[in-house]
Amino acid sequence: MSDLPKILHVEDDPDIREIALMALEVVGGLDVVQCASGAEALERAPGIAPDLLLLDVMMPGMSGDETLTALRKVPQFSETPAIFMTAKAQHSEVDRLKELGALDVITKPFDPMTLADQIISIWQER
Amino acid sequence: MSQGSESYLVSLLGPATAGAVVSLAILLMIGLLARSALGHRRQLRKIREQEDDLALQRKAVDMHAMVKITGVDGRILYANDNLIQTIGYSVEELRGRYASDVFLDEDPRIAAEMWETLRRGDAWTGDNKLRRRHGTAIWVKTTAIPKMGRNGTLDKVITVYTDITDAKLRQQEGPLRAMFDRLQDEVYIFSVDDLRLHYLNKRARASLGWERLNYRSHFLSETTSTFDEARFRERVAPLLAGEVEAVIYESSLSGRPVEINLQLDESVVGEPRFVAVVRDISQRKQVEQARAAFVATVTHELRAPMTSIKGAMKLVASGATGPIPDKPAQMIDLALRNVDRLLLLINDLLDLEKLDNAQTEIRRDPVNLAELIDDAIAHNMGYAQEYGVTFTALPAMPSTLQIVGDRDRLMQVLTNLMSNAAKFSEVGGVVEVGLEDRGDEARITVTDHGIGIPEEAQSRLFERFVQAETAEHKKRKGTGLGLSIVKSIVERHGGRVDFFSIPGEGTTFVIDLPKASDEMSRAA
Repeated sequence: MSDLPKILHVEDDPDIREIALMALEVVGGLDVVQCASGAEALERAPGIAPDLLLLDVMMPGMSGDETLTALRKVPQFSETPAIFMTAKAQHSEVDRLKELGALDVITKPFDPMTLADQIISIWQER
Repeated sequence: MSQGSESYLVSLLGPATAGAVVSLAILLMIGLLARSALGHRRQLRKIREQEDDLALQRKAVDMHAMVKITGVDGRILYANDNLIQTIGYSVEELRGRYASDVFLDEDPRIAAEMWETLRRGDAWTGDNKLRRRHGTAIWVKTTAIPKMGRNGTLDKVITVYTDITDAKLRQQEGPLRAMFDRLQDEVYIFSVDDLRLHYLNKRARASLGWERLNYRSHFLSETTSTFDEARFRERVAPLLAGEVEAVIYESSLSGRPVEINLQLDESVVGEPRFVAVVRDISQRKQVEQARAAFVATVTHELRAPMTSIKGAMKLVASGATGPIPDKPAQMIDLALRNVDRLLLLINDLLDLEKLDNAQTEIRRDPVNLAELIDDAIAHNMGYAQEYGVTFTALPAMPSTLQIVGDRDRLMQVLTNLMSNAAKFSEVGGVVEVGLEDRGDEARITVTDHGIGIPEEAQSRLFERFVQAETAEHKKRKGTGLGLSIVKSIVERHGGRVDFFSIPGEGTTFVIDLPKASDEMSRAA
């Protein structure tokens, strides 16, 4: 395993997926695999074997927190570090997400030029 | 019978007849004497019966009413137990004093009229108010009866008081209670000491299913199974201490969300009472929840495309997608600045919407204000550099001054004020941030020496989208929501915000926040 984590990014908005991919891969040089829904992430995650989960919160069908809860039930991901991305920045929401076992919560809109640095910094401080 | 009379009888009737007459006379006298003694015993028995009746009557009067006896000069000679217990003074404290000096509220004109009536030998009746030792009062029906001396002048006055407070209250509050019965809110009136119910309006009785119940013998604790008296006493303590005029809080009553407005009523005689107006806020809660859901949706729906727009432009502007010529790069910079402005506006609007919604949380953590100011200065260095000003903390800030509040929100207040101050300062100017301990409150000031606020804009400064219209101000335009947000946050912390400004000389914003007591800090 390199020093930098392999990231599984789950985001339903295709435009944000594209921006995030540019920000993490092109600007940040990170290894990223993306899924468009929680269900897809659950199906593909064992094959991807990520070091870090980057989850959007508000997604149709299975939300980000439901996706994390479901992944936690799979022994392989019972302790995989997770970071949430959300547009809801209220204290209660942030606290709730951290209580689910997230390392941190990144609020949208994020800055694509600093997103990778932000994630690496959270990853290294864990 | 004398010896002379006997000799006379003997000489007249002869010795035998005279002896018989004397014996008869003696028997007659004995009979008369015996009859007289019998009558006397009957009289005595009758007197004793009357005395017993009087004693019983007196006992009945003593139990039912308060009695005092005064001399002709009005000084108290006697007070019965009932009076002593009711007003709370001892016999020793009353004896020899004027009732009006101790416990009787009376109109001097009515008192004069009463004494005139009594001196004529007539009884007087009227209504009076008696003040109790601990401060409350009761209404009484007064009957004063004169005892006249042998020479026909007034000797003593016996006064009987009957408690008519309840009847007076009903009479005084009759129209009020009729109005309460028409209210959609529930009204509960109950005593401060033992929380005994004095009054429930129609709505409250219906809500409790007590339409046919005589609630006067019941207590507040019986109105809901979840009543916690200790918690209730804690809530009303500031009301009883006179620190606040009303205590308003949200609770749940039989599963319904309610808002309770509690006030202390001391306007009527008798014990002070709590008046609780209970409002069903189910509908309001639904609206608040709908608003919260709307804000959450808008937050997501607006920010998601903004994330893409801003992210894409930033990536292009940074050259991450390949080199771009100068002119398109300038246009992208222009678009990015306006995206930031739009984001700021969206954030400010959503913030205001959240702050207006009572459901939005305001944290209750201990916040050290000197540390907050230091952090705010560091946090806003970007504004200082952008506008070429210096932020400085005024000396001698009380380093331990604390309030209980939401640190992030208070940081937002300082950021809004400091960024405004920087924006409206001249290049090279200084913005001073001060902190002062003012007893019950902490005062934060933010002062600039910039262009000031035109007088015509000052009265509407905290209104939404109000900004000064001068050319200088338009040049430095913001969203017009920053000060409304400041006001909302400060008020949600129980504080006030104000400002002083002299056009051309500068502006000082003043925030007063209630200080945290040690207890509040520990509880937070």
